Order: sequence, then structure tokens, then C-alpha cells
Amino acid sequence: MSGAGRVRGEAGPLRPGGRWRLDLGLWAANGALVAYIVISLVPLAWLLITSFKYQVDMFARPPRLLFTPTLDHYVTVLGKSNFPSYVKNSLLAGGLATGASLVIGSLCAYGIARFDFRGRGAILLWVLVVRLIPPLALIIPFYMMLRSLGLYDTVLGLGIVYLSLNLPLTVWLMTTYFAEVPVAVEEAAMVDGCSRIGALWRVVLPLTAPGLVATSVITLIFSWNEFPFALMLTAGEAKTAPVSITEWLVERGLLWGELSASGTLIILPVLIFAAFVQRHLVRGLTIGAVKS
Amino acid sequence: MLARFGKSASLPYLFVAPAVLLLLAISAYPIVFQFLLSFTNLNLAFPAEAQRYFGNYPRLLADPRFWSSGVVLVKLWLGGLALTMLLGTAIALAAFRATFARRLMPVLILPMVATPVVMAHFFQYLYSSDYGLIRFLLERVRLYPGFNISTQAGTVLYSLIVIDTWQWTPFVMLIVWAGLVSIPQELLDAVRVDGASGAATLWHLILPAVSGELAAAALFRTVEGLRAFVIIWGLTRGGPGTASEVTSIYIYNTAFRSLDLGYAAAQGMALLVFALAVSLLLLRVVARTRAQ
Repeated sequence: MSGAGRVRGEAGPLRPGGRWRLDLGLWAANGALVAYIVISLVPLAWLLITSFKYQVDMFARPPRLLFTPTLDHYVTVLGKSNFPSYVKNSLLAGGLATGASLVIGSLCAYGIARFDFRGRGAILLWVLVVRLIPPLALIIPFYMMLRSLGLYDTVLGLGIVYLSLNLPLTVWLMTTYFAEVPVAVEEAAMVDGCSRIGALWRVVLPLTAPGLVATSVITLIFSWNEFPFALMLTAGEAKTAPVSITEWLVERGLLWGELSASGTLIILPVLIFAAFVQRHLVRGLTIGAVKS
Repeated sequence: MLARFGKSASLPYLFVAPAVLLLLAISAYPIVFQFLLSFTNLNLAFPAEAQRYFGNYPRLLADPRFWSSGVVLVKLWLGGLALTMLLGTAIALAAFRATFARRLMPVLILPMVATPVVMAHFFQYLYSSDYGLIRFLLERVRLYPGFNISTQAGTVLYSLIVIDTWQWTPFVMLIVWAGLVSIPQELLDAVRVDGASGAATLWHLILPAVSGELAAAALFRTVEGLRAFVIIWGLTRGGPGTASEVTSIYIYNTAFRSLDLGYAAAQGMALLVFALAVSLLLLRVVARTRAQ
């Protein structure tokens, strides 16, 4: 973690050898940062607010900040629609993909981090290239393959596709986490009588536990948020929560209340999880290239 | 460099084999499959009549809608790239100077992880010229153009770049900030003692010191920009007309509306080659910048 022991900004106006004085640059920086964050939170806050509004407040001009709240939209979404089963699909496909990619990807990452062998560089490069491909550039073969395997519109099929999206990420991320564990630690365990697998299981994995947790949370978030593949590879049975968002606009007109309520239910867990893995998130989004 | 040890010739391959086989199955195979498919005239409406057909690529070259989708893609990519890089770097510099930046990070990243398809649909509501919050806020500061910018062909791309900037500025900010906090304090102090102006310090010391981070941010924004689909699908579906139809949206329409899979496969190959060429070229630049 760069900068962990060096929280520079927090020294504030009182620098070593300095004195209290009005630091205009500091106030401008604080102001700009706060203003930016407030503005960037407006769309999210408005989504939350709209989910509690009656129709009359939703279509008011100018938009209302004070209104009588209602839980009607949540009742509709959770009790009178298929939303819960779409959430279940999302969780199953994402969970399957995350679990499988964690096992398969971590093994591969361990091999890459600890051994020098022919083809090592080629594997890393190929994993990276896979990550660079836009989803729509390969959606058609995926669609055809799932159809011919009888996996179109199944949670299993979607889970396999998500596994393929998560695997490159897991390999790169876990490689960086494994590489951070000193080889000496592992050698010491092997000198003490552990087998290589024993050393991996009892010494290396516990040391990389934060990395494993962060990687699984990140892949879960990516699978949960994924849209194009879910849109084109499912129809009704295996439809995921994000895809169901459009139902509120297409089938019964513009039901902004229901859209906001289900949208809030989709986004809220992501925001909570993301706040926890925030420090690992950049590493995840840049497949390990940048650490924060 | 990564630490490596181990003598056994086959052991590393056991670790990487499952991931490599899976990666081949889900990347190399689909690419070959799509390439072959692009030389057929498979149409899902008449699947039995599919046969070898070499006309897809000539048709692609002569298709104005395909070229205009590419132009829209490049405009959105470069527009979003420029804005997020500028704003993200500015906010990172503010955070570097600010008192409480670290504590605000979990809030700052929220737009980046909020389920994109939900937010894209919700922006339809925010942009509405009847009851949208954006109209109201812009009217307050006398900047409202008098119409909904997301429904006019001339301005729809701006409305998409706004969302892109909202979503991805935190990403650039986090990467650049990670670079800023790892600049040695002694260096900054030395420059201060020498009496360098703020602008000179920024231009000659700070920005060169984070050039690797800036390059990495630009690379990953490019990878993301070339994937453009979800936000457009959620806000405009490519409209009005084809004003915001990027290549990925055109592929979707060709494959799943016209059911013209052979032609869509050719479009997919074109997008694949373009995205990989641009990303790998940038990757080389990034690698070189970081090596310096």
C-alpha cells in the first residue's frame, strides 16, 4: 500500500517548522473536493428519494425535496413482481462464477507467481488480451455456443460466461497478491516439514486471505453489475436483476417509482461491499496494474 | 520482479492447466468460431438456408451505418477520456492537498460501482424536460438549453459523456492520487525551499512524477470506452435515430433485431480487431512510460 504510513495531506496547515495561518490553497482544495463529492452523489441520492415518492411527487415541477414518503414501490417490487427470483438468478450466477474462478484462478496465479516455466509470459499476455475484448465483440459465438449446449437462458450457462469474464481478473489479481508473500516464508514452512501443497494451504493462503476476500468481492460486484451478456443470453427463466430494470419502462409505461425501488435494492448492496474493498477496487479495475 | 523457485518441470503446468484450458475454451474458441461464422449468411429467421458466404466483409466496408457507428464510438471514447482525465487529475490534486481526503474515499468511489444499467435508465428520469432534476438545477444557474439534451441528435453524445464522466472520474482520480502520495516528501520540500511557484512545481515535478499513473488511467479508460454499450442502451438505445448508435449497439441490432448473425459476426470481428489494436498500442506506450 503506497502512502500507508505517510498521510501527507492530514498534516494540514501545521507543518513541521510551520505555524498556524490561513492557508488559502488548503481551503480551496477542501472546498473543491467536497463540492465534487456532493455533486457526484446527487444522482444516487435522487434515486433513493424517488423510490419513496408517490406518483404526484415524482412528476412535480419543480422537483420536490419534501414529500410524504411511501413504501408502495418496494411492496410492489418485492411482493408483486418477479424481482426476487431475478435477484436469486443474479446471486446464483455470480456466486457460481466467483467460487469457480477463485479456485481455478488462484491455482493458476500461484503457478505464475512462484514458478518460472515456458509459456508463463504467454499466459499472462493472453489473460490480459481477453480482458481487453469488448463484450459485444464476442457475444454472437457465446450466444450460439450456449444455444447448442442447451444452456441458453439457464443460470448455469450465465454462470459459465461470468466465470470466463472473472477468470482473467482473478488470475492477474491473485498473481499480484501471491507475489507479495515472501518466498522465504514458504521455504521455512517446507523446511519444517510441510509439503508444497501443505505450505500453500497452511501458510500462503492465510497470508493472502485479504487478497482472496477482496478478489471475490470484486468479482461478485462485477457479475452482479454485468448487463450485456445477461441481456442477450437469458430470456425469462435466468433473467438477472439488472436486466429486469427495463421491465418498468417498457411493459407498463414509465413506472419510475418501481424502477427506483428495484434500482435501489440492486445498487445498495454493491455500495456497501465496495466501501469495504475500496482500497482493492482500483487494483481490481486495472487488473493489478495500479495499487492504491 | 516476482520470486520464483522450483525444479520440477511439470509441477507449474498442473497449477495453470485448468485455467489455461478454460481460457482457451472461452476465448480462443469463440474467436475462431466467430471468424468462421462471419463467412456464412446465417440468419436466425431462416437457419436452414445458411451457407458459405464471402459478402459480409465487402458489405461492412460499404455500410455507412457501420462507419457512422465507429465515428460515434470514437467520439464518445475520446470525449469521455479527455473529460475524466482532466477532472480526475484535478480532483486528485485537490485530494492530495485536502485535509480529510482519505476518509472521503469510500463515498467518492460510489458512482464507479453503482450498477450502470440502473443509473443509465434513471438518467432518463433525471434528464426529462418535464420533471427532471437536471433541468431544474440547470435553470437555477441559467444554463438550461431549453430542451432535453439526451433526446436531440445534436446533443445526445454530450448527455452520454456527462454520465461517463460522472461514472469514471473517481477511477482516474484514485489512480492519479495513488501516484501523488508516493512522491517522496523530501522532493516536494526541497522544491518549496527553492521557492518554485505552484504552477512550476505542478508542471515540472508533480505531473512528470505521476506520468506512469496518467498513462495507466488513460489505458484503462480506453479499454472501458471501447466497451461502450450499457450506458447508451439504458439511456437512448442508440437513438434518436442512430445518433448515439456505437458499434456495439449496431451489433446488437444486427444480431438480435435483424437476426442477421453472419453479418453481425463480421461486425464483431471488426470491433474485436479495432479494440485490441488500440488497447495493445496504448499498452506499449504505458509500458514504455513506466519503464522510464
